[in-house]
Amino acid sequence: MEKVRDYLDPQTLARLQGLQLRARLIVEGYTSGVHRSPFHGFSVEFAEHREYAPGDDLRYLDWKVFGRTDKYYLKQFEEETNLVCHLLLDTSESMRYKSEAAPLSKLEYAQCAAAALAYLILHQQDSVGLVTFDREIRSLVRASSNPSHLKQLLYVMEQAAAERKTATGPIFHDLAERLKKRGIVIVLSDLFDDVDSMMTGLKHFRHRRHEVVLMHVLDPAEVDFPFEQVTLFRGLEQLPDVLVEPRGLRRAYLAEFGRYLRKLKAGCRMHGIDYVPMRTDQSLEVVLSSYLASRG
Amino acid sequence: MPPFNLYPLLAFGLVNLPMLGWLAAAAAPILIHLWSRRKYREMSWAAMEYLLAAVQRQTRRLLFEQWILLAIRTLLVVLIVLAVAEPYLERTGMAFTPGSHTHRVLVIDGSYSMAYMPTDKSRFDRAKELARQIVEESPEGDAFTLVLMSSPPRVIVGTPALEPSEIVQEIDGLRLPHTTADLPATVALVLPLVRSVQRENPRLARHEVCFLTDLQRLTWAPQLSEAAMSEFLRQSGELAQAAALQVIDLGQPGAENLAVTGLRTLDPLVAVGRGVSLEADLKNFGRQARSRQPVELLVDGRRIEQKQLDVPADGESSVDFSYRFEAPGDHAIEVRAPGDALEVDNRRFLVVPVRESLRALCIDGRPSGTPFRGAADYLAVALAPQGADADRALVHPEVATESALLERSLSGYDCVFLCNVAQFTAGEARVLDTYLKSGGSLVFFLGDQVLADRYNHELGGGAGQGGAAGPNLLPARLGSVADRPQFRLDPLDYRHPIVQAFRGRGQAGLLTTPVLKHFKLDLPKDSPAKIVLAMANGDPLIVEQPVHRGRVVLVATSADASWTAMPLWPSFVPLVQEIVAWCAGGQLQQQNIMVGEPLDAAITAQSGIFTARSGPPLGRNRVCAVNVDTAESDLSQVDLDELRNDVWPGVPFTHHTSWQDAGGPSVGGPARGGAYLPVDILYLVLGLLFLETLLGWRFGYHG
Repeated sequence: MEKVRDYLDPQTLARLQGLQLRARLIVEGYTSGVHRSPFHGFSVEFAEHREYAPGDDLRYLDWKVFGRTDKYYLKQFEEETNLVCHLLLDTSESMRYKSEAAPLSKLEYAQCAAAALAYLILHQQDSVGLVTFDREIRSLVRASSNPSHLKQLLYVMEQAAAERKTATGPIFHDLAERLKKRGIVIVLSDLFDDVDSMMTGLKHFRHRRHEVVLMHVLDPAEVDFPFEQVTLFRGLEQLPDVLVEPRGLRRAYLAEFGRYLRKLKAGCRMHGIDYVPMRTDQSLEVVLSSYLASRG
Repeated sequence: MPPFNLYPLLAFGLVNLPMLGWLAAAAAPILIHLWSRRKYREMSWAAMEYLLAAVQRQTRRLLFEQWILLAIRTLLVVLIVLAVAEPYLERTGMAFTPGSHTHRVLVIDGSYSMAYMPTDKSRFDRAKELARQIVEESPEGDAFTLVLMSSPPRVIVGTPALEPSEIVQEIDGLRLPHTTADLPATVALVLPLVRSVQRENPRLARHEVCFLTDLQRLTWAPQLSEAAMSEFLRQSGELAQAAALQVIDLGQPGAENLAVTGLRTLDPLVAVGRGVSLEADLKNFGRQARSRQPVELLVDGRRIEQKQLDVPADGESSVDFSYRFEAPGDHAIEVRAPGDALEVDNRRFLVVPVRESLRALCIDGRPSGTPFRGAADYLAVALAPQGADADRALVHPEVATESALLERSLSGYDCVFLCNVAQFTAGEARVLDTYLKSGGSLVFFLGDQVLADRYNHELGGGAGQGGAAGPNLLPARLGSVADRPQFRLDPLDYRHPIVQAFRGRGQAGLLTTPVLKHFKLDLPKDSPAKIVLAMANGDPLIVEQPVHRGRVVLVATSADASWTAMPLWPSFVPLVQEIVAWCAGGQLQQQNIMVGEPLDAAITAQSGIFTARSGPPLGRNRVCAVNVDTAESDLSQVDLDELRNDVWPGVPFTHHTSWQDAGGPSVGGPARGGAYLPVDILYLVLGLLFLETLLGWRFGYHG
């Protein structure tokens, strides 16, 4: 048992080969710690028998129960409890960044998170799909609840190469149109894009009655800016290079970054979007479990 | 270096100009900055949008901060280099040369005339005040040494003191000795002092010697031999070349003074129960006669008698006292003539050893069982004419053979007579030498047994055993025996105290004493020996000389009747008594000394009655009177013309009556004299370091 807990550390996972094993270990660790299915919180509607009340639709009365007990109970539909979750994985160039202090790049961390979530969802017989994108959709795997579907998801994730620029706004609009069935949309990205455009896209998901969870994957260096030495920062995603004295600029950078985060969080609050910050030096199991537990 | 004028009133200079070469180090912060800009690391960065926004927003501020920090760091290096170069800021037109610090030798007159108190402060107090003022008002970086011009002069602070508090502490601790002042010795002392400071402290490029003195004539117009005067002028000239001489006059012209210049007993030997006459001399050094001047006699601290005396202007008077001592031992006598502004010389002290009796040992070199046939028989009678056992006999003689010299302890005797002793061994010579060192006296009577060569050899400083020089006890060398009778003696004008009593008493027969044989006595050239009595042909008959702490009397003829009729003559008894009294009086003289003379092992610098305690193992107290040299009591001054023409002809110096007059930095304190800046600059460096840290922290470059 202790050994399994050790594997849950992201640094330990980084040393392991193959994403499938990583995801499995994480989910096992989680379930063994909580002793109940974590995905209760993910259910959009809960299935149960409920006593009839005037005004209820008589089509949903369970006549078998009425025959046995002579009481009116409403019948729960199996197919409506089946959750559909869409994992939107950002594979833009900025996700490739990994600082010295971080064990994984943002993309690797996001892949681990996506794999763990997919494992969890499939484990509870719900459906999960995957979209990888940068400035356009790179791959789209339809949602399925088949346990073997996990392999395909992991394969697609492994093939993702972070090389291009991000453009989240148009992508989210496009996807909102494509994903017809209402479900949970989980975005795993560093969200280094125009916040207004991004929010417009996410609002589209909400408009389509999707529940949106924004998992914001950041490197600790991006949050703390701990650099001391004069550094030539080479811009990813076709941004220019800049030579700066980090100690003098730290305060200004943190102010800019804080402004961006505040704007992002305010947008999420406004549109009822769950905002889950993730630092790549944090234990993934802790982040996921605390978030899932907070959903009840 | 030449001063760089900042503005008309101030001159800026550097002591260590070559240090400015290190200013090149000021480029270090700039070079480090440029180097750090060239040596950078590279990394890919995802959140570039926010970094670019921060750079765009903060570029001007960052540049400003970097320039500020760079400027502070460069300034730090510049200031440190500047501090090492020892800058100073001085007023132009000051008495001292800009570009250097000054070494001031403060020479304070330590003669007791400086104790003169014209107001509530003595001249010495005023000199100390002025010295303090000079130190406190001199610019920072000036150094001081301190010399007390006494006799002999003393260097109080010989290493230049930079810290004013240290030298002020030494000045405050100065105590005026009751000595005279020796100007030539002081110049001879200060000259090497200035030279050594010149040699060892090149930073002190200018030197000043400030004499704080009352310009008393005795000090400043010393009576010197031609050679000594020439040497004094040479050294003064060299000193004036090495340093600027400043004489600050603290004296008051026409100062009046009265001094007790002498005090003595008129009797060489003072005995219990016998009256003694005391005579005190008073001298008026002023222009106004003193009438009814009170004079007090104190014995052992008790006031005994007061008399009044008229002392003419610039004249002397004497006053007599008589006193009878009732107890043996050392008694302190003091005569006071109070009432003027110089208290030191208004008192005179005298210690009188009062004896109950004297013990004399007569060594008989030719003892005989027959009365008056031995060499010392007449002498013993002459020493105690009333009989040795008489109650009131002052002298108790004991006659012994030569062996007593080694067998007995001589310390119990006041005087030892050696009559016709043939010769002395080296051991006996050492015993006699030790006896003289302890204050005893020897009287040699010669005779037919005396071996002149042995005397000269063992007692006359000839080579002793093993080649080492023996003691030199004899006041004269013994020559051949002169057997030509002499019937007339020459008292040499009765100058010597031993024969003074015979003056006017021809019937005593001293001058007609027949001397049939005598040894010719040869007095070495420059010998301190004195001839007491001579024969008509000029041959000395009695000579004396102080040896160690005792006295030695050498009589060229015998103490018995074989060589002379002297023992049979009526003058013999008083002559012997005078010899004994004079020998015993030596002890009195030992106990009355002048200031500056050695008192046992110590040198006294104050006048008064002192008790010298010696031992253990043998505890012994010796009371001594220490008196001042009243030559110093003459307060007349040398004037400026005499100083310029007679004392220091051709020696450049400046004469002032105050420190302000001397152009000293007295008005406005150190600011007037400028400032020694390194310490201030280092404080600035400290402040900038703090500012740099604070700004670095504020700008995000530290912590």
